[in-house]
Amino acid sequence: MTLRVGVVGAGNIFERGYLPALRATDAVRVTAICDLDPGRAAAGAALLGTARVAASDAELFGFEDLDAVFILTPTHTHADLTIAALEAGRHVLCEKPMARSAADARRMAAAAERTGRRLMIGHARRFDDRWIVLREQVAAGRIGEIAYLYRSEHAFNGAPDGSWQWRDDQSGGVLWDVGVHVSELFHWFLGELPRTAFTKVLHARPESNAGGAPDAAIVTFDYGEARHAVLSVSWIHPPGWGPFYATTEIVGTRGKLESFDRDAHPAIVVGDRAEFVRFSPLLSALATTFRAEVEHFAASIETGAPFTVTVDDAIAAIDMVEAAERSARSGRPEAIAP
Amino acid sequence: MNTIRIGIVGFDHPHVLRFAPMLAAHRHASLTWIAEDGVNAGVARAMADRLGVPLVREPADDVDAVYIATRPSLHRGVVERLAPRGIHILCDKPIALTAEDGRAIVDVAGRAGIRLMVPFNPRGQDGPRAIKERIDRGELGELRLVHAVKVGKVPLTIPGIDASWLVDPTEGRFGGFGDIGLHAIDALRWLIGREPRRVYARIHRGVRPDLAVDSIGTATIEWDGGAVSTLTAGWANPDGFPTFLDARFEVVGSKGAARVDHPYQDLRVADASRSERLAAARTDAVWNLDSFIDAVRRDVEPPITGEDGLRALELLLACYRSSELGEEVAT
Repeated sequence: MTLRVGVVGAGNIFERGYLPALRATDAVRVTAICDLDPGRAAAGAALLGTARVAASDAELFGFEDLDAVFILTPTHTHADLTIAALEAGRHVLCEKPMARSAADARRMAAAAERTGRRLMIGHARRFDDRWIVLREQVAAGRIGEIAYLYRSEHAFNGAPDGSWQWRDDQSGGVLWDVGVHVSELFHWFLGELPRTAFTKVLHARPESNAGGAPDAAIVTFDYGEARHAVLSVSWIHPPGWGPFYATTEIVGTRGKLESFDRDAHPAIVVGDRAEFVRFSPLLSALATTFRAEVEHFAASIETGAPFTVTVDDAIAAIDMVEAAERSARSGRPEAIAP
Repeated sequence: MNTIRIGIVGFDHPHVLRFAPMLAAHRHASLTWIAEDGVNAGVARAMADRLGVPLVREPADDVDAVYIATRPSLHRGVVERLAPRGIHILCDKPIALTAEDGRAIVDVAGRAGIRLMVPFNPRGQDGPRAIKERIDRGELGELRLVHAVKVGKVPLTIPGIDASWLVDPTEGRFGGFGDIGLHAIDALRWLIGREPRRVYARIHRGVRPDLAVDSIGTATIEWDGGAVSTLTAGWANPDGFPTFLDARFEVVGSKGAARVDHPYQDLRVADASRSERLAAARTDAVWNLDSFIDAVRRDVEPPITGEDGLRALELLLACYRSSELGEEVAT
């Protein structure tokens, strides 16, 4: 069976992440697409070859030939669009972060319950073989009890001034946009929520100052007497640094796991500055990762099997990031509010 | 002063195994004696025999300078005895276990007018030094973020020396975060060139719950001028890890960024069944000893002063205070 999908939002993540996956897989067929920019929707439709352009999300949700909707829009719009799609009877795959607030995330979860439709959040890392391998080593007890977990994702954000990504109320900045990936990873690896989050954020770049969204964040998650985790995310590394430089370090009672950016084999072209041919060394597994995510979504809908990343998992990540955001404002460690 | 006469006081600090032969071979220094009558008297005797110097029970006055390698709880007593005699002092880190003792050491050295230096490794490593030069030339602009990692193996595995004081809550006091992290705390002060304002830290025994002291921690430090730094340090390298030590410094400024990974020399030989690390003089150890000897010979301020050692200790103590309180603290 091929899942018939409508795409809402044909921007960055559609173009870089989903489009190559959708063109490669036969598990889903995109039958409709819409975007606030009709030209972008038309370009996406042309590349897919199977989709017609809808004038609006409301029109798209009403189409008959749809089983599911992919919400690939800016973060602050996720909740209302997801709820509308669920209420129109569609299953939903919504891009991360699930929402701009924990309250919105819970509204989405309640709508999925109420409508009996399936909801998955696009935490693509769950489908990246590198994290899967690391997680398997941890789960097998290879390094004993985890005492320390560190993940950095450092990049230059090339989004233009005024973009929603620089608007604190729309994206939450690097803390939400990237931090939610790291938080979800911590929750996935550790299987528990931290007690508190302590956060320092920067507003270093002019775009960040204008829009209010933090452009660097360091969060220490306290897991009690014998464990802590540190999240470090940045959009202020220089452009030549290359997109998405990332490090994972996990230290346990019996050993240590490491994964460095230098393991990601980015292809580099050096002209007057270094250019990374890949969109991202972190996501050099981009095509396979998003394809695996999309195919998992389609297969789980068909069989009724649970998603590998549940709504509760996504809410846990949102709760962690929201506590971290509270801490950045209060200057104190903040409890993770369930 | 052409060649300075140096004595070694104590044989507890693992650095002494590297420093002793380097001092004996130094072209501007002569090793006069090694003074040790504690648990490491045996290994001190073997070293003294190898280097052809006497092992003595008590430091004598026949030296221009000493390198203090006792456990840190003894530093203050040694400095208070030797500084008033005009003997210059290279005092291994931490300068003391308490700020009070550290202050007393700096004060007595100041009153005596002697040169006091505390050796820290990153200051003498090429990678961090190259970053520092670029910061000082303004190439990175205003500093925003600094990430530091400094981890190693539990020092109990160092062959030939009883360093069990390092895991003793009263004699070592700090555990892995303090033992390894102090080098990086000094490096952060040096690289950033400002003083810390506030710190939040989590430090615990999670990696080695069998030890009575902490084994890992992370501190987030905010500095004058607004830069934010992270430091993770501890005994995080399992015995099977390819290197004893590992370190990373990443500096992000308004105009550029720089990063160094594993600034240690790593000489190794491998055959079909195993690999072995080769002993060689490390450039950071050379730099620290050269700097001290040069400061004494030319009668100038050493590049790392007792005051620097004290400031690093105070920041380390603030990290522990934060971890105990569970709150950010002022430094």
